[in-house]
Amino acid sequence: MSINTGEQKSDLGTLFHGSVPVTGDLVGERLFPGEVSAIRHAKELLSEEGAVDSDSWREAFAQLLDHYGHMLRYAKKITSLSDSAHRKLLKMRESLTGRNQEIQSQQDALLKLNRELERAGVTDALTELYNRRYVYHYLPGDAEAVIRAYQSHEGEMPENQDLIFLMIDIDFFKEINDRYGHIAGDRVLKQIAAVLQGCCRRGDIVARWGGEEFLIIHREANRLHARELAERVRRAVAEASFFVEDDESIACTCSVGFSAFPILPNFPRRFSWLDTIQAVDLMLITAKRSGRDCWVGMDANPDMAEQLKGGFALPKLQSYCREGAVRLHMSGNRAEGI
Amino acid sequence: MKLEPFYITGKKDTLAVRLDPQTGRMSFEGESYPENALEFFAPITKWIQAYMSEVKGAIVADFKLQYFNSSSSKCLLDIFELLENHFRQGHSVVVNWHYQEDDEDIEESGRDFAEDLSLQINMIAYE
Repeated sequence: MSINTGEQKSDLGTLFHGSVPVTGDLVGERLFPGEVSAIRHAKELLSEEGAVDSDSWREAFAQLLDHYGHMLRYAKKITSLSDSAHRKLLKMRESLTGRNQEIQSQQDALLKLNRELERAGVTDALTELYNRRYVYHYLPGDAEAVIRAYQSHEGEMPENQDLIFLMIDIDFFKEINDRYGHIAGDRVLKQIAAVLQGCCRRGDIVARWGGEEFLIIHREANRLHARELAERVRRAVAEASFFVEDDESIACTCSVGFSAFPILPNFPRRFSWLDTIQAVDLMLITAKRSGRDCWVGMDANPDMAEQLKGGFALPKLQSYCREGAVRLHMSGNRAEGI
Repeated sequence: MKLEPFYITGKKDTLAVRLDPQTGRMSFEGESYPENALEFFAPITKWIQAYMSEVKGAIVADFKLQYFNSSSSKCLLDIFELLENHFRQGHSVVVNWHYQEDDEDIEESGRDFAEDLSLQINMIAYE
């Protein structure tokens, strides 16, 4: 056979269909030049005027047969080869699809794990309350929103835009641990967590701040209600009974320190949320010193904003109190001042 | 005129081809789905024809293909036909068809090429 891949132009269409002229690039001829030339030869023979000798016919016929057989073999092989190639591509596609699904499900699992880790990272393992990290992570945003609310209400004070911070410590908790053991102590902490959550609305933050210390942040609250909220917590703990064994329960009390954020409504940026934490911590200590099972809160006098500068370390707070820039609120008449 | 060695590096869609007139070794490797397979294979078949008519020597041909399209398979069939003719003329022709162990489709393609030929084709699996 001849292998001819040169650029030949011919009217393949007329070879097959008689009169229709075909021009342009003929892939058929380029792919199978031998076959096309055999057809052309037979065609010429057919169109010759007068008699053609039988040897010429025989020769052309044999040539056509030969090429026809060759074409058949090629057609069969190329079909089979193409099928194989196609199958291979389909298999690759299938395995890619499978791989993609695998990657997708791995990604989903990772996302889920990530969410779980994120949640675990801001959750206290024992009580399942939020932990300190949660407060540090989310409170700046909350505080900023409150500050903006105050700044956008020039003149009149917005209602129910305060954050009220309550720092709570369980009184004589060490004695529970010493007397009933740490397992029982943990059990009490879990029950206290439930009591504290019962004092809060959805959206409030209840966090375990330290060992037996808890922080509640009431959101969208009104500072005028801070005392009620503190008293509600004090009473809820005092009135509950806590199981230390399945058949033995005890009573507990707590001390509460509180304040509202922003501390100075007319200068909402003067004190940060961390200053507020520092303030309620001192209020809690004051409540402890005042005999426990009570609350102590503070608010600042907006008319003495000039005097209020530089945080809430104890000496500062004492001087604020002396000047009357800060007022303390104490439950009952236990408080003895700061 | 002396026949020069023929050497093309493989591309994404064309084969790496090495044709050595000294040893009669010919190797084809890679994937083949160029825009114009006829154009790509034309100088190769021309070289092989020249080798067969001028050098008239033995041939060892290695095919290690991963994928080829239909027009490439037509050109490869032409090469196999040349090899078959060379063999029938009494020359030594060894053809090795390499396929990846679990690649049934390329393995089957090798058998397709071998079909109807008196020429022996060695099927060689690689890892």
